[in-house]
Amino acid sequence: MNIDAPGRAWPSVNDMGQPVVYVSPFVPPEWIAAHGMQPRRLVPRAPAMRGMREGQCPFAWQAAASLTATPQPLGNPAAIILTSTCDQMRRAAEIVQARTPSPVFLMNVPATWRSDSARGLYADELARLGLFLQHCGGRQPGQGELAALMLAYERARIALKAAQPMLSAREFARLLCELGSCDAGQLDGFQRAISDACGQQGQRAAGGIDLAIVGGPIAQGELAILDAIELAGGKVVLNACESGQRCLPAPLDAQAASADPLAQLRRMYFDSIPDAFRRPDSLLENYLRTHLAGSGARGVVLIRQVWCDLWHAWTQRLGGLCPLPVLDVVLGDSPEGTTSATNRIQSFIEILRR
Amino acid sequence: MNSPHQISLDDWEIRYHRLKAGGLNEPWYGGPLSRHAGRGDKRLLSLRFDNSPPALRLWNFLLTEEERLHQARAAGGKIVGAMKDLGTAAVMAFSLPNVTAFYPDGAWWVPCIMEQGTGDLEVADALGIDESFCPVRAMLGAFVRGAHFPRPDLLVCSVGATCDDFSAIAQRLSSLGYPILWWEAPHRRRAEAGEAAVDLPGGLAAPAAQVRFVRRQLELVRAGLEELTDRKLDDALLAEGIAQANQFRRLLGELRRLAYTRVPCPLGALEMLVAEMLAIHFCSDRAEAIVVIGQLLDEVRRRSALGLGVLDECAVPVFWVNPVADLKVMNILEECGGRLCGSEFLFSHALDEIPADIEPLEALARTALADPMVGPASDRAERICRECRRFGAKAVVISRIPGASHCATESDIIADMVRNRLDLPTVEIEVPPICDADAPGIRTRLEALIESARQRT
Repeated sequence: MNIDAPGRAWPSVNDMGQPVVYVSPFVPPEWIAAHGMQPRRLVPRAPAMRGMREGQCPFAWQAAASLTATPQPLGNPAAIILTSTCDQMRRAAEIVQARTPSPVFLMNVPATWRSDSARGLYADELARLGLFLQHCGGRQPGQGELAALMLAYERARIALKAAQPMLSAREFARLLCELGSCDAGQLDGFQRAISDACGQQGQRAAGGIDLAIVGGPIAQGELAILDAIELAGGKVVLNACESGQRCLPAPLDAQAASADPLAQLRRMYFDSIPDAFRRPDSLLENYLRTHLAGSGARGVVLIRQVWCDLWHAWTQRLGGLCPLPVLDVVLGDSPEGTTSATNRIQSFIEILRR
Repeated sequence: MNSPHQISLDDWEIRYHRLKAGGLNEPWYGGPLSRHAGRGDKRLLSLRFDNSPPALRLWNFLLTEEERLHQARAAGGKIVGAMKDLGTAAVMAFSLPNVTAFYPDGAWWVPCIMEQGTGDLEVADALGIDESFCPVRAMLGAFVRGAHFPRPDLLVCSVGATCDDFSAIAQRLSSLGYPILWWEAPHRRRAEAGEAAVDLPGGLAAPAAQVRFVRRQLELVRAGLEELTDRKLDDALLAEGIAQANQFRRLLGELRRLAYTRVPCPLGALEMLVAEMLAIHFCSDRAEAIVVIGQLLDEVRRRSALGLGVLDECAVPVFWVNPVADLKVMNILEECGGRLCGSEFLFSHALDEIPADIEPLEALARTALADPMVGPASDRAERICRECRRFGAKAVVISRIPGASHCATESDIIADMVRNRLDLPTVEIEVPPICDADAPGIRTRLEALIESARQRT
């Protein structure tokens, strides 16, 4: 079991052969699976602060540490895909490349998104990734194969979204990671996993203080703060972190996908996922404005990794987007792990309750 | 007093009046340096300056940029604020008549020069951009306060493979109602097998597809400039703009060659830092920047020919990586027995000549892709090693920028390559905008480095 916190197992290398490991939600797992390879979305375990320098993002650091560890806990990946979506991860790719025998692909995901050339670059990068995967042992996707896979993933995503109200925030995050680690043959099993998880979540408390969580990536061990929210009487009604619904791709247009599946992937992922690195970041601003208002949340918890400038800069802006109190929770800034964050969350909920 | 020396601001006051009495000829922005300190540039009181008239002109040119920008605005010119790419967009803007470009990024030196007496950092704090960000956050305060430069008529900013600090701060600026024309600088990668590659300035290369992409991005910048000025920015104008930029870069290249290699050192580190900074946007006056750098080069040539310098002959040649937020550290290096013998201040692409034998926008795209910030740190380290060899460095200082997203990872990569390839001692220091409190520690580290380098030779 690849887990250091209570709950069900996260995707493990024991379950798969040589995976193609990726981190960013801007990498479509169906594109990896279409090459006959096993996608494996990496959510690092709790950040180990040992060896980390001041200024380093604990999440990026831990992702790099996981990918370069010996022996390799990820089972000697067939390939590693990292993205340029933040400076720290872009630079981590260089370190990973130098320290692992696995081939590393740094995918340029443009920060700008409104020009045809930026959208074209993402599509070109998908095509380049495809060639890279073939070079790493994958096969060229057959005619119609990608579109069929996209439909299967879409069905799984629809099921996951439908189940979300019955799932704890942590369980949703785990299942989202699991979906990103499914190959074509595992998607039916994923639907069963959703049912099992819903069955086990019957104990999820009704009521509570509705909260929205907003922010970037969270390591596995840090997901304890999602439990802390619920244990303290909060209920996550909007997860706009990287482990939540914000980073799901847009719904599939099956007809368009059968005509031009790569263009659909670009639309679903690049054109649609709002994030703090995008310029301008109006996609994110609009998403938060709409979803915070519609969620019924009574407060917002901004969860960010220490030294993450992109999300840090949102601390003040969030308050201007909605008339809700905002709690700024910084992860990875102390050896005590999430203890301090947990205490702050408890206090925040206590104040909101009164 | 006429021999090359480094002198204090008080000494310059006396010397200035003697030079004036002797017939010193100055441009409109000339005058005693002390007047800048009187207007708030208090850090000048802590610095030691080169005592030559060309150095006086250099400092006066630097410290009157705000006046120059206001004059350009008053004369009906358009002002373009180029951000982050450090060199390329400014060359494009200056290609149009009646357009003045500057980098608001330069506000990062304001808290140093004015000894944090401006309130820029406090404004940034209040906007949620605290000290965990790089000192360039002073730019945000400067915009909001309407201080240090007039509000530009057009703001353009490169993003993509840039530091997250700057990207986040620029976005915060945009959210406050300052429209920005964003353009993408992708992470520079190596061409894959079978993929066409293009040579870039600085001995680099990139896939032809990436150059084409950047060229299309620069077309967006060109369109923005044309809309601003209602004038076509055609290839002839761009070619002339590139020629002017290259004239400056050639003069600076020769200045660097002499100042970094001649014994004794003909020009101090502080003036060399300022001279290199001019390459980014010519301190808002391209023609005058060429004159200023030309006079400085003449002085260095004269000193070199006479065997004169400002430092002891046994000063240890030190290569410097990254710009310093506090200019004072350049003096400290020399006080510790070192001399600058090369630099990589994160804008080496603004020092290299822009290719002049290809289409102008293609040339500018290649230059933009040669930005050390957009490529892997190992590319940057390779260049540093090359320059260390070229200039005969005996030690390397990696000067971290507080809060900068790139320093935490790239410092190790650079230091490892320097040690492995050149077997040179390296040291890391972190330089805040005012380093007085940290100066003893910085001094100790630099002294240890110089001592180590001396023992090896």
